Amino acid sequence: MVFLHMSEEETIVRRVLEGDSQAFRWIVERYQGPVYRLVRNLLARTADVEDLAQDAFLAAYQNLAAFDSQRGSFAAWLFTIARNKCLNAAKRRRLVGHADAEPVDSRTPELALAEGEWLQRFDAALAALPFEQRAAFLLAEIEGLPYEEIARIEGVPLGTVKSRISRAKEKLRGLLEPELSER
Amino acid sequence: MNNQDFYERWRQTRAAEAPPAGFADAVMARLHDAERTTQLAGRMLVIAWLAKRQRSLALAAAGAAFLVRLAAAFSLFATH
Repeated sequence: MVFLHMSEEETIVRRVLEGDSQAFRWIVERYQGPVYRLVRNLLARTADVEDLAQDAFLAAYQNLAAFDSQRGSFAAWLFTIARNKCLNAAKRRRLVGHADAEPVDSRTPELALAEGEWLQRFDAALAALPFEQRAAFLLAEIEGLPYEEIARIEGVPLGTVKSRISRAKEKLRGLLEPELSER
Repeated sequence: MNNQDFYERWRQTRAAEAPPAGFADAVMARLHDAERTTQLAGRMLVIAWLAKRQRSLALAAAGAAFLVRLAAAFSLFATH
């Protein structure tokens, strides 16, 4: 995960706020991977992932004036927006009765076989975690963010982040041990 | 492979995932569409305000003309 230097962040944000909307492309290109991955993994690889990841960037653009570099990094601010979009989408799905995990597998059957069923087992186990635990786990394990940064994104104390990640690992182990021990 | 190896392979696979090609273009296109819509809404507000103002000006002019005519009529009565 590459973080922008504060001065670089501020320069780009200032340029966008002064009307240079093209400067925002630089932000999109820089963060599209991490934001897309977070949304994709948080929403259990469903079909509307791309739209939601785009929504996160649009929301960031529209609220750019609210970004305060004194309160944290741009990455943390952007992840907070993406995480909240996912939480709202997950709530909406529950309200309209959609399955929380309806995976879209775009791989060829041959590749799916080659990768093995275990990859899907991990995804399914992750999707079974409560949203808060899943988010903290993904930010730490996939994006490699420090716990302090995750606490800022989640808006909770450091201890809560630690316990969420620890519980997530424990649950994943519990869900996967029987599967893996059979191999 | 042991459990840790399975986990590590899953982690690396998911961490290497990238958005589909053209993702940044799609975001920028949506952003410009949203901006155009905002600008259009802004222009329509200005036009509505101008139209309202124009109506007010026309009403004020008509009112002033009426008052002038009224004053003239009174002055006619007053002199005769």
